[in-house]
Amino acid sequence: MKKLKIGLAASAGGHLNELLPLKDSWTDYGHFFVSDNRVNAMELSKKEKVHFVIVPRRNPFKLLLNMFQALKIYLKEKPQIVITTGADVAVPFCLIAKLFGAKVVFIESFAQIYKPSLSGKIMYRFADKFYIQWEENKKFFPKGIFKGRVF
Amino acid sequence: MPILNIFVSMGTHPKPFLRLLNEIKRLSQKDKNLSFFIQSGSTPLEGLKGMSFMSKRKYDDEIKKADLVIAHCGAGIIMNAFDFKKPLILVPRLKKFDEHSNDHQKELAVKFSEEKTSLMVLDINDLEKAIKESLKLKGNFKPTKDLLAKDIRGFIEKIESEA
Repeated sequence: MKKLKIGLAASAGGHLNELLPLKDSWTDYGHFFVSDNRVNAMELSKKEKVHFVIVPRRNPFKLLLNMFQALKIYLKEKPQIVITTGADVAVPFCLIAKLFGAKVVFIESFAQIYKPSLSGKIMYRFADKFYIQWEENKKFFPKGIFKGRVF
Repeated sequence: MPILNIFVSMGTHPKPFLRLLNEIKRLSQKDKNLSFFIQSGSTPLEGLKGMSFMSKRKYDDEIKKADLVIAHCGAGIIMNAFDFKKPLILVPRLKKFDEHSNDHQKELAVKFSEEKTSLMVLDINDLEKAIKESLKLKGNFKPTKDLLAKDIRGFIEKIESEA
């Protein structure tokens, strides 16, 4: 197992489904997931280390709790890199990791062609690598990197 | 004539997709060589074969068995159809028929059909013809996830070497 540790953050459901196919990138590195306890994240937790956080869903109290949980997880795991496909569940963890010196890789969803996602808009300013899945995204993410898609 | 196994995906959206269901019903009565299995979500099956929701295992099995996938234009089924290399017909849910709250699905369907990796059906009367044309889509889709994963891996290794 290599020394560098990687955090993988994604809201359960579609966002997590867009992150998992990229597993060849983090294979044989120590890693863990940050997600919420819906659908596929629960299934994933049977074979992977998953830390669960609350879904903020634009509720300020839930957002605060999510941030607190994210901080706890960061301090416990201390990843050097965080890879994320968004969304609100993952963003606080990514920002906290960034604050503590981790590198963040963000992948914008392929469901967004003509409009940026909210988590994309936020993370575009902080991510060390920002991937887009449509060339059209360059209109609002000019520094976005296009290397194909998650399938 | 060989049986054509068709997996139909309607997603998990709370609004029913009767426009697609009714056409599937009509086609299954008209052509006995078409065998449909429908993931119906919130749409009533009305006697057709399928399930509203199913385990991931069952869902993957049904897609694998299929010769063709007809789907509402949801991100999940698009990924799955391409991953299993199945010809794909996209029938986007449209706002004007109260199938969705916006026309985002149509935007996605237009882009994918432009890439010639799937066929798009806006007017449901075009579905029958699309089924006949769909099999020539086979092999058009070229996966790119390895490219993306490799690029991310390169970044990880760069960070590791600087550590």
